[in-house]
Amino acid sequence: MKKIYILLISFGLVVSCTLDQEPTTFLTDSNFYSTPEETNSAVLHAYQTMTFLDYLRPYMNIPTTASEETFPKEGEGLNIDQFDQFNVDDRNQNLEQFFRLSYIGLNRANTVIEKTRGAEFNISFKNKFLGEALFLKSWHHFMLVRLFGEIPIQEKAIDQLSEVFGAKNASIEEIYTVIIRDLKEAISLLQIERNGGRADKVAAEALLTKAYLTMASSKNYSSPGYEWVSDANTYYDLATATASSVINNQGEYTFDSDLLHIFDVSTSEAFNGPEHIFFIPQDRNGLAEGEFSKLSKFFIPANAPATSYTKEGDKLHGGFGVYVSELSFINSYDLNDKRKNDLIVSELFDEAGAQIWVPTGGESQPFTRKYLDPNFIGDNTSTHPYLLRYSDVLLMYAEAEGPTGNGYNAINKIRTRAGLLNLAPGLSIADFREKVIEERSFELAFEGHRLYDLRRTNKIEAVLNGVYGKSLSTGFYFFPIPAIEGELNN
Amino acid sequence: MNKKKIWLLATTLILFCLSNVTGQKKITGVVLDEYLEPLPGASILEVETNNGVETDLDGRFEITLLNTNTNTSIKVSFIGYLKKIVEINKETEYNIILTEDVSQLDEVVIIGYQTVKKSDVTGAVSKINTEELSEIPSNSVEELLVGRVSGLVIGNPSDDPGAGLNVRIRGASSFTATTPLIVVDGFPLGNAGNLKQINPADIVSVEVLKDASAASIYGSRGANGVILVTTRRGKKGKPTVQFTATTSFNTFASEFDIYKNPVNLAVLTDEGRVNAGITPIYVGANDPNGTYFPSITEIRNGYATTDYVDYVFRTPINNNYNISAYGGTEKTKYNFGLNYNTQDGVIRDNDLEKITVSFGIDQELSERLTLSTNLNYSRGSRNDNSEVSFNRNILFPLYNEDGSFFQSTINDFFNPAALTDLRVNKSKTIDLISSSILQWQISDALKFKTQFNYSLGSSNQERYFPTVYTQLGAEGNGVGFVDNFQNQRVVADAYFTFKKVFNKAHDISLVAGYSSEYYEVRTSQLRAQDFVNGVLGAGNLSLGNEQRVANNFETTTLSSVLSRLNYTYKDKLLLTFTGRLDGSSNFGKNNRYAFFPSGAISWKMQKEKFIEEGLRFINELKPRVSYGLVGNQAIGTFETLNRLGQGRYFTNGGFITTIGPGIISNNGIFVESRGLGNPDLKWETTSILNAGLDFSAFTRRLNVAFDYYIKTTSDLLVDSALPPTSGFDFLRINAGEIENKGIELSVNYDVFKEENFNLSTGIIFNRNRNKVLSLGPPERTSVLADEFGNQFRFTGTNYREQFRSRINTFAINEPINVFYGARVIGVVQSEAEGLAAGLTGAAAQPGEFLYEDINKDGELDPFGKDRTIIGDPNPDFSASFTLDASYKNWDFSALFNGSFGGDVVNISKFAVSNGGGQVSNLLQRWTPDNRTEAFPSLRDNRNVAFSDWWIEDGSFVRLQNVRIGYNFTSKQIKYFDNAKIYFSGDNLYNFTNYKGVDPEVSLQGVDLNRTPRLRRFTLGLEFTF
Repeated sequence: MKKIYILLISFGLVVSCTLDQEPTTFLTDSNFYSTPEETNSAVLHAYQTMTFLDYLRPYMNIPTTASEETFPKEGEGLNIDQFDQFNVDDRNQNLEQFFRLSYIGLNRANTVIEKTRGAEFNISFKNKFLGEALFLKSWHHFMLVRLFGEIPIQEKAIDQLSEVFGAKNASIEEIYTVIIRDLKEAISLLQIERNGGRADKVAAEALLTKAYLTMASSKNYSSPGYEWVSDANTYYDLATATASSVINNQGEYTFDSDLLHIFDVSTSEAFNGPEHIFFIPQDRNGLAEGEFSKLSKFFIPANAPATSYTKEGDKLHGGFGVYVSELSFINSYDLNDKRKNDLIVSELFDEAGAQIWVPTGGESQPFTRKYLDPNFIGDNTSTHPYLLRYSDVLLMYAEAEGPTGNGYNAINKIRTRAGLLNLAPGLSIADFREKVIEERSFELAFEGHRLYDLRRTNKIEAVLNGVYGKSLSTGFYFFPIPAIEGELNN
Repeated sequence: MNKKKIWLLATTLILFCLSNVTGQKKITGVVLDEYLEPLPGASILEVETNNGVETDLDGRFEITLLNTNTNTSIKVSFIGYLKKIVEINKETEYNIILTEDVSQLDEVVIIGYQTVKKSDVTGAVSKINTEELSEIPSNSVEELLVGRVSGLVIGNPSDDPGAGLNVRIRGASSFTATTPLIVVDGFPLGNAGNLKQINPADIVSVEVLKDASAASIYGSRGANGVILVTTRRGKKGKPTVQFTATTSFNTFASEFDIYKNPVNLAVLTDEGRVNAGITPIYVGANDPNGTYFPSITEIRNGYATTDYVDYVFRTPINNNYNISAYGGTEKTKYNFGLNYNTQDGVIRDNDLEKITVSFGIDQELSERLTLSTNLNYSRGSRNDNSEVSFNRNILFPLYNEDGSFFQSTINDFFNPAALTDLRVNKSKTIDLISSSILQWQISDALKFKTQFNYSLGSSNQERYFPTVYTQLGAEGNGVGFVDNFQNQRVVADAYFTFKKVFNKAHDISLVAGYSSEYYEVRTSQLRAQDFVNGVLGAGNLSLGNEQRVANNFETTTLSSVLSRLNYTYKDKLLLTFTGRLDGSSNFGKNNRYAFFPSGAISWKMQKEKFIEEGLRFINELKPRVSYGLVGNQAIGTFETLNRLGQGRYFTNGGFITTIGPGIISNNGIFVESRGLGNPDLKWETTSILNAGLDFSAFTRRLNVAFDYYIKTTSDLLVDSALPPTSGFDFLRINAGEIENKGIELSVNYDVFKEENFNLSTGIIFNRNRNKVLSLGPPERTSVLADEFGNQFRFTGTNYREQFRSRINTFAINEPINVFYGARVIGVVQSEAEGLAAGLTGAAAQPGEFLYEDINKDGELDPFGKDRTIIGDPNPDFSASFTLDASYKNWDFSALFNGSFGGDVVNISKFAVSNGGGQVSNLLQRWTPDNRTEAFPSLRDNRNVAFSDWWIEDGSFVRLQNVRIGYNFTSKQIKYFDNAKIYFSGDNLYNFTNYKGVDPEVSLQGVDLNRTPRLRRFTLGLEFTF
């Protein structure tokens, strides 16, 4: 019976339209990734994941509030408040969204890796794309392992249903093995080549330094979850070597002696300043939030004037004041520290130079000026998270190297720029490292590093509760994997 | 001569008077049916007079005739029987036998590609003559059908102008598509629910195909049933013109449960903040955002408030004018319809205006050849102002003192006055539906019919988001959009019908043919931003400094072969076999064709001797059984392919287009990643077993239709939520099996059936039990198991803000969409009680929800292990009751519609993390002085787990419609053949214990309404000439 029908229908098909429709308005994976141009857009697509608000917001929300740097403004909701109090549950939307977006990013990176490995175009393109994708893959794995601990490793692009389920948590050791392997390959493939918003060899080296140092210090300070690291010193040495390559073997990224210039985003050239090895580029002319950024407004207090000027005369807009600086943290800076005096805003002026705002207490506190764009358009700015900068590498180098001449030089370079005296000589290796970690908290404040530094040095309770008196309940070292993963991957 | 004439006249007069006195003639008689049974209540009317009587219980009558002419006659009538004129001769005793009106019995029913006599239908098919319902003011056909058809449930999710309805036949058998196919005059137009292109006044009848035997002729689109709509055609005769005009206005059916008293607002808001350890804001100072909030004392002493409900809402008056004309000659028949209506909403400036023109012609080309065409054109104009907030802080004014729009902060984008005045959102739609039909009677037995259908739908929408007062506009310094949409559908059918009776016993009719469908959608969007000023809105997008375009185009084709065989043996036994083979471009190569067969058998027992002779009160007794397969092809174009998405990334000083895996779309503020293809996608297949009985008795005063069905849907099409580690959020797969079992009963009884007084009642009863049989293959989908033996998967919306989870599940052996969550047993009265119960921290304080330790492990985990199935949104049964009465020139009708036993989540019951909630409930909150067990305290940032506390019984009985009308007889009016005035009220009263806004909600059972439902009053006039 059915055959007769099919016969009839085939007759019908001759006179009517075909059932084989080809898409004419979007691309499918069968007709893409074959040329360098196509693959290049796929690499950018992998980076682009990081410009989604669901990625950007948690990227800043989590470490900024889960540290002594800030507390969230009242009424910002459970999903932020939980970080301030370290009582994070597995339904926290910041974690859930960051987890999702990280895996979306991983899939995009893995797609590039798979498609490029077999590609037949020019080897230099091939190496570049592969290296960048491996960098991004490592970035996501590294962010995830630092936030959640044991998480599933994604080694393959998912392009069919049969690959969707069954991801299992890998041990932290396995995750680091993959990160180190991928980054080493990326370093071998990539050139030193600055392209704002894209990673090159130096970025891969900086990230590898960070991975080594996290392993070494976690072991050294007996931080939970890193018992498996064979020996702290081995990884301190590896971190020293990798950081040294960034510091000594290239001239593209350098130390910026002008503090304010580091955080200048007034032009896209400016935000490609000497220090910036890798960042998430955003531009005020973008069409949607993510393409442009409102990050400035998260730090500017809500009661700041709608329009005002810094003492240097840079114009700024009003803020949401989501992240309120902890005054005791601000006060812990040395009185002469330029990073407080120049990079913390505690008064605002009108166009004529008359003072129109000072912090009034409560949720009106001094705020960082690392995220100000004097050329803002309405709410839209070019401010953006700084993911890897030269000073970070310099301090990692000092920490890994220890109190040698080179080690002292590295930290003192940072201190000098900040207007501080050199670090007291002759410190023990432990004391020296404590000083470097403290220096990191001042130098890299509000840049999303402190939580991870506290975790890898086993200091969450000692600092946040001991020094700052924050009440803590759970999730000091690892946040829970979002419930949605367990519900859907079963 | 004159004298003679006068004499003659006088004599005649005298004779006449005499005869009147003396010649009055009294006749008696009895009225019987064909079986010589008496017909009580038949009416006897002397012709050309008002002199009439009725037969008594024995069918007897007695009438004194006014007219003494021997030529006089009486008219004998009884509903359902042919009228009879009996000439009166010299006899005084008459035996009158009426015969049944077979034309009424042999009313034809359309069953898709064919019509059959109503008495010969083998499947579960309901027919409604909508002309009878024409006085119900309605904006669409679907609205007319509410409560009229057994098994058809129509819900009204929104009162927005132009909003569609939820239409469902026999329970939910699918996740992706539960809407029946709608076919207008043989043209399948898509999903029922919003057939706005067709003027309801043009529609004469609607058939609803419910079982597989009836619906399988529509194959892969038949699973949810099919609604066949028939529009008016011209008739031979003089031109008839009908004019109707209705005017209606709406009011809210219930009160708004929001803050009206500013003191309550301030006290409760601050209480919620203080309980959460947050500083109060009503302290007479600027809050951290710089907004001034008066102190409670200031408010008590009198502080200006704004009645936002009064600003936002209005009482719109809507008009509907309709002209239809039809007529024709032996060879040419025509019909014409013109409709103009407004459907303005209750929200200020939320308007819709529509004009529809239809024209049809039937031309007999030769004795054997007929050509018909239909053309339907409609044009709509919409000004959309629907998203304006009425639930705003009543202490905020609309305007500042200088007349500018008030903003509480620079990020306050919700001032309804600013949005109404400055925002632009208007669209124009044009729809064209046409069909051409050629019928060729090749021989007496063989007929060929070909139908070519074409539809065009297009819309053009202009939106402008002004700077300052809208978020998008503020970000982009004014953002304008022009959206263009166009779809075209071409359906060509060609089929033969063979019909012949062999040996006077074997009646065979066979339909066989081919159908081919092509559908395309083309969209484009122009966007510009950064405007110098907003004067032209989106009128000239090139004025924007930044521009962006997007376009899309999709096509779908469907090719089908169809056939149906009807066989009747001696007009007693009926058999039907139907089959359709569908091939669709939307499906993966591996599953491109599917075959949908069905069969049915029925037995006209009334034609058997034992009924014809022994049980003569039975007019119809027809059991019928059918079984078959139908499909559901709700799959988007190209979902079988891995689709790449795009974005922009800023590098080296400029934005560059990026392309890679997955299409990212926005769902609220969250992005969703789709794009993973499933090449194995195929039809959802539904098998339906139906057993029914049609029964009619007592000269057809009692009509009963009963159906029992078992409907099993396998290979369910599911939007499977994927684990985040996959890098995708959703994928459409075939997974799972659902069973629907149910009964449908409709009973109509004519209580009185007399010349001047008629009263009939009808009851429709539907009971559907729905059960999930399987969740699908474990390798393709995730299955959760809990300690209570539930195996399930979450479905539906993720209520991230409110409950931080999804709340509907798809669980084995449970009805679909059952609620999954915690149970609340009261409110914590002391910290000791809270801690003892297993709560910790803030959740253990007095005034918090006291959850039940369902798994009895001593710990309370209302987000995790202490959750189980806590409610079922599917109603136990639904029913409706109709009453139709007429007395002389008056007629009256009422419709009650009810649903019983479904659970509804009243999501607005109480405040969650950031305010909201029904104020009447907030006022009953727990406080140290009011240690209630019914409501928790107010606390901002409370971590609220979904629980049975939010679930209420959603049973209701609604007085859906009441109409009262007066018909002017032709004597009362000049110039018109007929005139009528009527008054109608919709949604007049809802009898329910449900405490939220309205228990009539979507399939998921979640009440998201904040605005009360509308009540509508309509006055109508109708003239025919």
